[in-house]
Amino acid sequence: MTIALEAPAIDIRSLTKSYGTSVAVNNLSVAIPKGSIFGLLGTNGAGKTTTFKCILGLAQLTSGQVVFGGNPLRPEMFESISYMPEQPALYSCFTGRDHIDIARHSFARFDVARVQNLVALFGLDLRKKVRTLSKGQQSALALTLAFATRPEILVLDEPASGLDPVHQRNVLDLMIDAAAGGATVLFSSHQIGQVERAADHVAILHRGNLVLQGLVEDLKAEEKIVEATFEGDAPSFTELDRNPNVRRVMRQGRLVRAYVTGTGDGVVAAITAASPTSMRILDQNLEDIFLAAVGGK
Amino acid sequence: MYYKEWLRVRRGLIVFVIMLGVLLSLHFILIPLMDQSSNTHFVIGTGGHSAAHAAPAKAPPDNHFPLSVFFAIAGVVAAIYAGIYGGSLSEENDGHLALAWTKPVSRTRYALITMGVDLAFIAAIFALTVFFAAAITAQHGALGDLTVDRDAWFNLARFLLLAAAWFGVAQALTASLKERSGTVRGVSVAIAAILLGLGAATLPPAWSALVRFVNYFNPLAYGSYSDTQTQLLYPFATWGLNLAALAAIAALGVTLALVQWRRLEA
Repeated sequence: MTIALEAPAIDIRSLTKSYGTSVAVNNLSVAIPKGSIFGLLGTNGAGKTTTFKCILGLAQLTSGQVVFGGNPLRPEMFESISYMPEQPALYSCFTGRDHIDIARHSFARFDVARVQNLVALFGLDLRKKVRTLSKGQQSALALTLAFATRPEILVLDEPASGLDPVHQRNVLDLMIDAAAGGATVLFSSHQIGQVERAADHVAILHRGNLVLQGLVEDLKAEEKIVEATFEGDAPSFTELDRNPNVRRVMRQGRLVRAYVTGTGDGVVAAITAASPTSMRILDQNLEDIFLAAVGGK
Repeated sequence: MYYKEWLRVRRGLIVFVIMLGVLLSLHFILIPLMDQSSNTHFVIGTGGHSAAHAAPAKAPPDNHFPLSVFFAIAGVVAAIYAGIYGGSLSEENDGHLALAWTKPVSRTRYALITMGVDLAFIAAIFALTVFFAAAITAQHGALGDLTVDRDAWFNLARFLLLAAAWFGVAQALTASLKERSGTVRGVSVAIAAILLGLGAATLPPAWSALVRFVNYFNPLAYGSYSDTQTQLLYPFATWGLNLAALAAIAALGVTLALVQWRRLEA
């Protein structure tokens, strides 16, 4: 673990975004370190895409502030910031080649050799019009455009959406490679296994609120599962609901599983008092942490 | 930065040139056949109106026609294209803002580049139409009958500005729309034509004043052409004011479109 002394690549300060009376993102504060791969997790409608749009100035903030390396976003900074939206915003009447040429004329940092590699990697046929491409091919073209300038900051909304497993792995490798080269990657994904594999930091949004954030390794070390089996149906353990270190308790027949923060000593004691036939303490994976964070107790 | 706009209008130019080429070819093929079979002549009269009629073998004594006719025809064609390309910001708003607004230029500059390329394209359509009209005239050996009328250069400016004004109106009406931009632009043509008709109708004084006022902002009100009754047809009494009004409508439309564009969200 490194201690970052420089300004975060993206510093989101008390970001709130409302649409009428509906609050899409509520008072979100997250600092995304330079060179990190930061996964933003959340269920559908959690506010991930809205957060990305607010960060990049595509939607106006209701309140709060977003700064990049200590500076507010300016249009010329998009020379080194790339965005891949969840729905590729490509022009259906243009070919892949047209899109590449448009990017080449728009960005001074455009890297022709890099694009050739990416086109080969994804097996893109640039002669085809976008309207004839599959969802996966459109995503691959949008990814090619996003990585074409070797940007310092990549914001990728569901980058692997629609891609086959081979290209999903390619996307992860591209993100890891970009971060190894000093770029900062902020991305969202519903595939938690991918996030766990690529991200070093995560934040979990639930109904517009930040419910958990931190280094993946720290979160996994802090979060435990206390799992116990009973002879008959598992007791209800209502006292665990009042324990602030318990994120969620799941009962299923003879099995009870408590998702806890910290050592879980109090939980172990409470369950032991009910005389289980067996009990064990497990490390949580990111999926467990996510489900515990958004699922309630 | 304007490469995408260039790609868009390049396609429009290619289609337009092909269309003119086909029309010109048909003209070259069909007109001699028609001449042989029915002795029909195209005669462009002194009133600036084109007409086809069966004529006796002897030509009319005066076949001169003003250059302004070309500009009027080109103005109509350019205005049609202005109506079509006046939805360019709306098209960006229909799912492409995430791509458009993550380029290293401001929103305002992006929109101005888009509309600037559109306007250059519309001017090119105007010029091509004038060229096409001249080619047809030359085919009939009538180019020598062309006269540079007194108001030709005013009419050139007027019909170019009319297309620009219609472009501004279309952008102002549609810049914040994602869908139905084409419907709005189509309906706006009908409303402008109705307003023009109402302006010529006999109405109660209050209604007449209202229609007259609204027509100051209606580009079509500046688009009539006759070489015998010039000033009376337009909202203002002088050429300068009419040209200034058209330029103001264009500028106002573009400004309103920009204001909407800057306030959009992806």
